[in-house]
Amino acid sequence: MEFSTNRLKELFRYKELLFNLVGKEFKAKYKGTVFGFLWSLLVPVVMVLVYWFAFGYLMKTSIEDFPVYLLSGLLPWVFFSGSLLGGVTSITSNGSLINKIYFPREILPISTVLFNMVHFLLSFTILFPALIIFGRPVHIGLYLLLPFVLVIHLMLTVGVVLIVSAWNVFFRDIQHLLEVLLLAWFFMTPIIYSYDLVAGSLQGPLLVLYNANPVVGITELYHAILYGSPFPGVAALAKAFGIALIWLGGGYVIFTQVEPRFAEEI
Amino acid sequence: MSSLPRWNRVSPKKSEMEDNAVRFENVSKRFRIYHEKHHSLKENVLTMFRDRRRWEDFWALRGVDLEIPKGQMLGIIGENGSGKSTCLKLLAKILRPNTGAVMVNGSLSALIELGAGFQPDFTGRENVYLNGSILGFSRSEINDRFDEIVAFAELEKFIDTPVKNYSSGMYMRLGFSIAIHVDPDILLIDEILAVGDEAFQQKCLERIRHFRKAGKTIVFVSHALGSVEALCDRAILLTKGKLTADGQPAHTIAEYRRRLGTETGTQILVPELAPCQEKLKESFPDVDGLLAGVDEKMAGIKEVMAWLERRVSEPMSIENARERIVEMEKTMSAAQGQGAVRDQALGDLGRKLELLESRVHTFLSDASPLLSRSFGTNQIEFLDVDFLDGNGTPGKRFRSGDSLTVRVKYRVNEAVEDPIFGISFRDQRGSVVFGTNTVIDRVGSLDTGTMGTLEIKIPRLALLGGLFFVTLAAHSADNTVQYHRMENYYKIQVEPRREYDGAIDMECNWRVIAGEVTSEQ
Repeated sequence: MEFSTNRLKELFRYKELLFNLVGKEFKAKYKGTVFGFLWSLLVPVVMVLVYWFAFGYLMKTSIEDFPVYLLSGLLPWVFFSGSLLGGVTSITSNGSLINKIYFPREILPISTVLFNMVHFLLSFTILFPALIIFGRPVHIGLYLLLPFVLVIHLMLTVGVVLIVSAWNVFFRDIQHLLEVLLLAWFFMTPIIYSYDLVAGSLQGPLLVLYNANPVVGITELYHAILYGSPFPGVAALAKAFGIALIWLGGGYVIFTQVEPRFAEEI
Repeated sequence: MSSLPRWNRVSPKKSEMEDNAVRFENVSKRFRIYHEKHHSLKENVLTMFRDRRRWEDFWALRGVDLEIPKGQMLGIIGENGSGKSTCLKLLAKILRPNTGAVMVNGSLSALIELGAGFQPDFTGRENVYLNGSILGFSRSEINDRFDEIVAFAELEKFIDTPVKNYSSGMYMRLGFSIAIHVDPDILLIDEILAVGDEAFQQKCLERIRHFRKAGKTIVFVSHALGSVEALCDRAILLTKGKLTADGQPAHTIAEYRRRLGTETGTQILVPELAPCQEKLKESFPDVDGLLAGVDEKMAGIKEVMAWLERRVSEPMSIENARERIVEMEKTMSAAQGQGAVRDQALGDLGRKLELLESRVHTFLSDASPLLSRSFGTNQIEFLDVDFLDGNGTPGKRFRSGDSLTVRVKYRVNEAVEDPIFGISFRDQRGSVVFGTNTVIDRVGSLDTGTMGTLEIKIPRLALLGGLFFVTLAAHSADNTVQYHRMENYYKIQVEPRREYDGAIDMECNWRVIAGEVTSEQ
């Protein structure tokens, strides 16, 4: 894999561009707004309020401190889905750049993911107050695992975004398909219900299928660390890392295979 | 995804590459021109089992072998669509070859598209950092060069203004300045010396000479043959994607002119230009006389005049005539700024130039309405034109009453709003016998994409026998800008269906009703 280490070196050389693109997206998105970044906090807050009303108040879910449970699964989901929706067009919408200048093309989807990552990290500012307000148990030890989980989540997301952004160059359906897919994906992930419910209802191949969703494992890790549900163990952490690594590697291979054709296909 | 081609990644062998900055080894580059662009899964699925070849291959480069030694300045010349820009894009890693390998030894900076990636809302300063990072700079490297970049672009006062408020000249100057401060081993230059005013162009040339002195390798693509000859150590000629001449610039340019002059349907018709040149010379009968009485401070004017003279005496194409007039005007306006003392003489010169310009224009249209020429801003470029008969066979001979399809492969080099495509036929006397365009035929707005094929199908050719000259054009909605106009560029021969008289072929149904003719019938 000599060529990929060269590519990675090159990617590193272009890190300045990566940061500049993330900064550019921030400036472009919040330019001229009064509340700026606060707008991006509004989406998860409203979602939590709505689900809280529907599932917590009307349907009386058995999950205690439901808003905290929701937030700890929903914020990572917003990061993931936001990255995918933003990243899928990251190549196709930058045609003029790709046609004119050489730079490692993976910079574009990766910068979109990092942009969403920064939002995700900033959104912890609503999560931690909620933890305190609802008096959730605080496990300092588990918090130390949070950076690892974030890295795993980032790897997984970059992997998926690399694939969808590359394929979207050849099939512009991908971006529309993705919107539909994410809607289903959201409900196939234990965010508004608990994983125990799934494990209790599904059996055999259906459960295997459900667990094939790579976001399930990572969501359960967030639940364990942030909400305080039982920690699934180091093995689960390693498994999530392995899955993320496969997605990242696979995504990178797919991306680099088709990347040379971008300039003429866009 | 199995249909995706793979690229040959050949790493250069050290020993072979040491003296060469660039090596092309049997490089070919193919573009697929889709008849209908499939960009969705459904269309791909639907057409999967049907006619899979709904595209045509256009080979922009075919089997090019080229070595550029370190420190050489190489000029690439050739007609539009000959593969010059593809060459540069391959060098710049924007495109990958379909066969063969492109090897580059050293860091490379491409002055292909200045200011690509500029954010209009960002200030000049922010764009220097953004653009610099696109070119692979780190923040500290940009910091080191920042003052120099701004000074070179002469934008000290405007560097904290959003670039959307820049003039196009300022925009280009900033782009050029960033790109040239990369300090690469290999520099690619694509027709960008038309940046800014004369003074800035001089500065750019100075910078390029400086690069040469520093032993850098430069690849220079240009239509300005004079610049190629003056600047380059060596020049190559590309003809339809093939390397057809290589050597001393003068030698290659001569070969280029020879080919242009002899090939049919090309841009330069040398014999017809001779009178044009005569007229140009007539317009400057007495340069020294014009300058008589002007003191020594007027040496600058003489220089300008000498330059004009040189330009005028060079063999020129009709296409270049326009360019040259623009160049002359530019030189004039640059000179105009030099001082009021010269106004008198300049006024005379200006009038002469105006006269010259109008004469050239009149000449062009009067000399021969059947003059074959190709010109335009190149924003849309016709690459290849085929005339197909009813069976889809390309050719130049058709029969009245049969169908004729004109298939035009085009490329959009720079997006334009609502382009209009037109076609017309002239007979041998130069009169237009038929002309139409996408507005007259109410085709509606066109989604051209970045390249594609335009098909004009005439189900029933109503021309009677003879030789017809076809003009194809892509122009702006108000017809003030010609993106590409191929005037009388193609000839087709039409065989009459029957021995009709006149110029057109009409269906005629005869009927005789024998019997008594009543008055009310």
